[in-house]
Amino acid sequence: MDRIEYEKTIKACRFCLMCRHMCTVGNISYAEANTPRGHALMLDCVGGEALADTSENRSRMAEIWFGCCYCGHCQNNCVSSYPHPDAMMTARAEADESHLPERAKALRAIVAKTGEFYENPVQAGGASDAAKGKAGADVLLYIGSFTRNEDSGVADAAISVLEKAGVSYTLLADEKGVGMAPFLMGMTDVAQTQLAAEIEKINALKPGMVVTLSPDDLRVLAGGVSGLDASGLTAPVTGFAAFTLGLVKAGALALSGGGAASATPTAAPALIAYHDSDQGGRFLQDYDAPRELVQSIPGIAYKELFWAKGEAASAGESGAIRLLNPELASKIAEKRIGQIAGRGVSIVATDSPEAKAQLVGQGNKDVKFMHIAELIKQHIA
Amino acid sequence: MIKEAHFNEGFRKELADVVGPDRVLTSEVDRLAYANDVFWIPNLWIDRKKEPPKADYIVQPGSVEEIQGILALANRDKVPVVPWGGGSGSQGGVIPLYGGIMMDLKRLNKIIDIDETSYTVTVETGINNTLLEKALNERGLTFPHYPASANCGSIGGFIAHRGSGTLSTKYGKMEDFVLSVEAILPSGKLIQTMPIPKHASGPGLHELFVGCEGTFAIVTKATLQIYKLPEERRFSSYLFPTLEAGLEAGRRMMAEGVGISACRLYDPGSTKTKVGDVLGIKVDNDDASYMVIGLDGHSEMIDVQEKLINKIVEGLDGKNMGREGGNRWWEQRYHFYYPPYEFRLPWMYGTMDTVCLYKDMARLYRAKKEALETNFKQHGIRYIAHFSHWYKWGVMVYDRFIIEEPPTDPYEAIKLHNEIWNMSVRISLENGGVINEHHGVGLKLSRFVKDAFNKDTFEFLKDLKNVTDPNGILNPGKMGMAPDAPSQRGLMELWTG
Ligand SMILES: Cc1cc2nc3c(=O)[nH]c(=O)nc-3n(C[C@H](O)[C@H](O)[C@H](O)COP(=O)(O)OP(=O)(O)OC[C@H]3O[C@@H](n4cnc5c(N)ncnc54)[C@H](O)[C@@H]3O)c2cc1C
Ligand code: SF4
Ligand code: SF4
Repeated sequence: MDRIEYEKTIKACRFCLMCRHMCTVGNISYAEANTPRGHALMLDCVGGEALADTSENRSRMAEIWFGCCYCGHCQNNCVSSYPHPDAMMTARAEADESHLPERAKALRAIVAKTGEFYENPVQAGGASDAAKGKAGADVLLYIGSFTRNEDSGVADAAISVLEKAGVSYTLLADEKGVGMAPFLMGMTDVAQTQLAAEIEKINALKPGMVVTLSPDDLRVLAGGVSGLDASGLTAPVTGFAAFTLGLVKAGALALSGGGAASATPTAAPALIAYHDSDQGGRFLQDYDAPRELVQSIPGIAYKELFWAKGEAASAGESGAIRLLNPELASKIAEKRIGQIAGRGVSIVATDSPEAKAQLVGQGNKDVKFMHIAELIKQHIA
Repeated sequence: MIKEAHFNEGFRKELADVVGPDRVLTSEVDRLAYANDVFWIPNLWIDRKKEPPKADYIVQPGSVEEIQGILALANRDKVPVVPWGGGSGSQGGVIPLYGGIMMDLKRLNKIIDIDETSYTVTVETGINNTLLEKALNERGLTFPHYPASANCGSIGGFIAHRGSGTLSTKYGKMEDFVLSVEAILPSGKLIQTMPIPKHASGPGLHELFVGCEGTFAIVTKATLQIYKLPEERRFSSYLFPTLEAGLEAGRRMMAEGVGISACRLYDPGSTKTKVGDVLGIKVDNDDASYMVIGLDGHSEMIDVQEKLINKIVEGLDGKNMGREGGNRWWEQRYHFYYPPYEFRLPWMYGTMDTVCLYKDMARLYRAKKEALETNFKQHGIRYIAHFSHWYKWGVMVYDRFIIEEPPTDPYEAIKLHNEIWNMSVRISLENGGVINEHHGVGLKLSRFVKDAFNKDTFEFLKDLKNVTDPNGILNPGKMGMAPDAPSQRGLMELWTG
């Protein structure tokens, strides 16, 4: 985020309370210092009479920056569209290493070594080696760091869908991430270098289109993350749901009502809802395509959750908060479960593998959480 | 009497024993975040890089028992306690001028019961207004207290300040929504008022706590009137040749019982500036006043109400400007108070709302406008107003002053600010008005409370405070309840001039 925009945001937020009611972390800690107004006030005051520039204060501030879960609710509910979450990431970047919380220091060290949040990152399984690194395919399926390392079933499902629709596709042979991990750790230069390298590899394969499985990657590659320049990407980029909806509409992919929609032919159809993730929902406002895709499955009953779209609580998947503060991340997901449970839905689809993991992690027995690729795979005719 | 508090590790530990160690925050960073509401003076002070008064301990209780435990410690050591609802007050009600404990009530946010037969909701008072409204909307219900600060104010804060919302003309002010409250006195006694407000079983004690501004008690629960979401909401706009014609139209609508839900009449100054800037409606006539009328309920009834309104407007040479302007106003009704249209530093500004009988309103408005524009002309003062909460007997004026280039020296700026307020409140009182209609007293207007009552009445109010809070620990310096103890760095004296 550039300096002028950062300072404008801080000046606007420091006495403004208008998005606090939606601040995910503020609504858990209840501490004013964890809210957009609190953040901006201390950034504006530090070094003056109101807030001494001490190591103790700097450490508490860094703890707060690394405690913001980057959910986007403040920006989405901002009365004037100020990008407060990006200001938080800038504050992370500007925090002195010596003041960082221990977990942030440890994560930075891992990211500095591997570029990802994993000590030993893995490459995607599922696809045959022949499918990797193929030039000129219609689609380059960008798997994403989390899916590769923690939930390869999502990648397998997406590949099945592409194969069934007869789409020529490829994967990067050595995906490394588009820079989100270093970006979230305040390592902006590392993030930009990583993104540029990944874009170069993608460009070299000349795909017709890049399709992402995580809205985090979509946001970065679409140039939506302030401070990360993706303008070098030559192919258009889209999310899995929007791409698959196009296949369905074009008649390239037929869906059926079997699978998750009903356990037996006579049972009532399962009630399916959609969870808007932080990056796909609040930031990209990608609300319609995934819903249309879910509703295009024959015979399913779709229920719009009351707490949906911009008002859906976060599942705690963003901002690396799962790793920085698992207890907080779990409390965040628990709140979202509270908005879903008891509403009669038995399946909730989402576009974010990280959000799915967060929600699954709450162990709710009545609701099954799936990535949208997994849901579609179950309904391939 | 309270002592000026200072941080004490032993006392912190005792507080932590009551609420848990994570719920007592003492870092300077955390304490700064509780050092201001939206009162102009503390914000100016912070903007000029000066140190605002800070509480010594931020404590976040989650239950009645925890509040009782905190109050027991505070009473024992005579440490001030300031209740914090949402910190959105404009009167400095939460400014911890004497240090001590800032009691953040936001954790008390449960909806305890929704009664869909009697249309009531019982809540813990730390609940945020917008979040309560959303939860009710999920069931087709509404709590139609729609203040511009719904996103940031708590139910406890609105009760404490007797707040008002956009549709108060139909649904009433905060005090009209409250059926009963639960409150904790500084002694720890748990007060539960009668379950319903209409009774002949002694005085209506809940009224003692509605408007108490955290000086008598901490309100912990409230049962409020709610409604079904209406079938239709319809808004129309009108233009009157003069402000007086608009005031008369509003008066007639109320006197004739048309049943409007909202009536917002902009004075000619606001019509030209605010209505033009925010709603994009340009009016050439310098004397004209723009009005928006809101109706809600069953569509068939609204059709009839609309006819009655049009007749009143025509009789006063008003012009029907159609529904588009009205609907736009409803959609953008809060934009007037948000960036980029809100008043903000480095400007000096203040909202001086007051209420009086219809017979006095035009005189009060003209007197104040003339006095402020004449006496503070050299500072380039602007005075604008609208009239937004209408009663059978009178109307409220939401009048504001703005100085775009106030003195740069904060001491001079504060002095000027307080001179403007002194004149404004004096004129309100001299013309049949009160010191405030719905923002409360807080610190800002504390010095005027004694003038708003006769001597004996003010003494009676102080006696009540002394009975409920003999050590004076609750919210010292607010609502006219000034303690003898010195405030942090003498700021009480400077800020309340
Ligand atoms: C942009 C904006 C627009 C506004 N528009 C309106 C409007 O339309 N209508 C309106 O009425 N006001 C409005 N206000 C003012 C403000 O929102 C109200 O005064 C509101 O009542 C404050 O509520 P709060 O929860 O933020 O209280 P705080 O500011 O936290 O506290 C206000 C006072 O109440 C006391 N208090 C808080 N909770 C309790 C409790 N549970 N028990 C006892 N005492 C308590 C505090 O000690 C303090 O003295 C606006 C403010 C802003 C910033
Ligand atoms: S993000 Fe917007 S609404 Fe939130 S504090 Fe900043 S300016 Fe206010
Ligand atoms: S990004 Fe989320 S947690 Fe961070 S300040 Fe905004 S609303 Fe709060």
